[in-house]
Amino acid sequence: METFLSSLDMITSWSVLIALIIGSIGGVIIGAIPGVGPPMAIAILLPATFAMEPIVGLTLLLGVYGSAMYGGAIPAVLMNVPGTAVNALTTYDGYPMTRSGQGARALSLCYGASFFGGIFSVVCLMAFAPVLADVAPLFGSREIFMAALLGGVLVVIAHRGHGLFSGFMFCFGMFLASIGLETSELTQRYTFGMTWLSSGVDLIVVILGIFALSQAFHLLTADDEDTIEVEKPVGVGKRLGEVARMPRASIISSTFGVIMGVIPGVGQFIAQFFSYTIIQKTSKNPEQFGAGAPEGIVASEAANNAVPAAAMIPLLALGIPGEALTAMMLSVFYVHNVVPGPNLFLSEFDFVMALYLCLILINVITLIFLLVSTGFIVNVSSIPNRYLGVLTLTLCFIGIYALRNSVTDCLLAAVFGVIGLVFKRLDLPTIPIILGMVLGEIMETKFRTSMARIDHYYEFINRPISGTIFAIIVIAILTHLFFQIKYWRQSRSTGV
Amino acid sequence: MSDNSERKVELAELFIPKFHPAELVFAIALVVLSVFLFSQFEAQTRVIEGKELAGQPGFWSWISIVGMLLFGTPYLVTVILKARADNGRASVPQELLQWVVAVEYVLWFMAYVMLVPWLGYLLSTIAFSILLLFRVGYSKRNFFLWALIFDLVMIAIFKGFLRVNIPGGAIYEYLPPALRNFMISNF
Repeated sequence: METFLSSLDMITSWSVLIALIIGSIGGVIIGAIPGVGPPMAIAILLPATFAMEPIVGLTLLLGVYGSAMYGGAIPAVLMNVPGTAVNALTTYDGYPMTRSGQGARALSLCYGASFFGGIFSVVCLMAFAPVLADVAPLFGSREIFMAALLGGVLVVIAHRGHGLFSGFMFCFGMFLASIGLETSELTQRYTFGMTWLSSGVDLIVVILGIFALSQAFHLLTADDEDTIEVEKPVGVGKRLGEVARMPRASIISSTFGVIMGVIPGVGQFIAQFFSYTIIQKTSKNPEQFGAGAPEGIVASEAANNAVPAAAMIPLLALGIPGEALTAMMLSVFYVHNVVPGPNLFLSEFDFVMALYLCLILINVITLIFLLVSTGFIVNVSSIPNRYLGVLTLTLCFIGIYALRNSVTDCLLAAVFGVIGLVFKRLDLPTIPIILGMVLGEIMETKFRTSMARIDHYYEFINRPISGTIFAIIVIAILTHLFFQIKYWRQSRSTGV
Repeated sequence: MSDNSERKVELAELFIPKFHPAELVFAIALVVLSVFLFSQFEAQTRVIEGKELAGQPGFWSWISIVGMLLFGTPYLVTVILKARADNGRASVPQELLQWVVAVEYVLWFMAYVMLVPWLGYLLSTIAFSILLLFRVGYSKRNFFLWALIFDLVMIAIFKGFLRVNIPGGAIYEYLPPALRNFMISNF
């Protein structure tokens, strides 16, 4: 109770409340603009949050992260254009409902399911927080090394059809993180005699290049699509309770969101895929899916909105980010010398609880804002691509230049911007390179710390937790290989 | 009217990645980069005599590059196979041209970066967004007006309110002292 009151005290300051409101509303608007998306917005906001208190900065970023998918549902349902990448599945049933004159109902389902998924995951986290607080301190260097390695393996496995590319990019990210002065023998690695590389390749610069500048370049090189005229939905709030009549879809999808969110490297797409497939297969009307099934919308939106809160678990408990957005948040912790991990749960549990309470408030603020402003947000969704590209490029400047006022950083970010553009155009995943940089650094540090304490490599896996994680890694790789071979045999026999 | 209203989204389409033959160019570049980095290992890291590989300062770079080669080589092979199976509907030179076109916007961005220390954040941003809007083909007054409002609001929030670290322009030195301080602090 004392911890709860202390965490409540943390979030009842004006600065946190303002960050909550700006983050939530900003996230909805950003999510509703197709082609922008929360990774870009968070990347740009990141340097600005370094001057804030950790709780304020993280609340602002969490606000954008937790609310963007709500906003992304609006163009997905009304225009058949997903606002964020994870709203793509919502178009599948949302747009057919709009075409049959049920746009307002579809949006109600989106908002209701998103709210349910968001709150469900936070409640799960709060319920399991005492367990996490007990388990987290059992993680030493070897366990964290194994957990980071598991994250890397899952990043590769989870990118279906892009496993080899993801593996390459994860390793490339590890390589980037290894450039510069290493601390064990104080020698330089891969600097090619360039002094600016001695301090290494800055993670934020790469993030801003890959997520923000690449998006600006992508928008600027795209064509402006004709404006889609949409009828503004009326009475969205009146049908909000309909989700309550679909408890099976809501609970199953949110549970998938929580589970997949906790596992590093997996994320929304897999959660959506599993929940949608299961809800469809167990539905009384599976033929409606893809043609305007309300349960399909609930499956998609509840699953993706349950992920953000769950994704905070590996970050807070172990200091291991599971995807790009939590990787960006990790840098906010580092800037303020707050080290997420087992000690955070022991010494600053009120801080962890404060973040959970913020996540609940973000969902409440977002829902209220959407109920009064959906008509306005529909207009925002129609900003032309190249116009958006110009505005985005001016915003990118702040994010990169404000870091160190360095022209080199800007040039490096621009190079990664072009690489990110190629990724986008070729439909290649961008997350592995970032996770490689973050997890690679964690793995190297923990590997060196562990090596000083062990006599043989076997000691990496002879403890209960590290051994269990190692077993999960082996099972995950073998299962993946089994299905890859099975898929390859099937495609050979069918000649596809 | 765009064709969005007629487009039927298939579930598989949402989860199975697409392939473009231009990926071959990218894959070759990645493997060449990996081989180059591997060849530079001894020159770019210090090797301590008598110490096992895991204890070498460059061990983590070595692990990363070996990983790049282990994933990159079969990746290149799969891309070659996919490119062979592709019916050649998508144009590789056209796709490569799109990558090159983006370089123009890199130059615009770098020009903006170089301009800020001279003209200051406010003038550079307005000049940059107006000129770039004109370049990408907007001519209606409303577009420029909204961009101007966006620039002013953005500068007020980031520089004035959030106090992000962007230095004043050299041009501000020519302003009267009171106005100069105000401009350095807020614009």
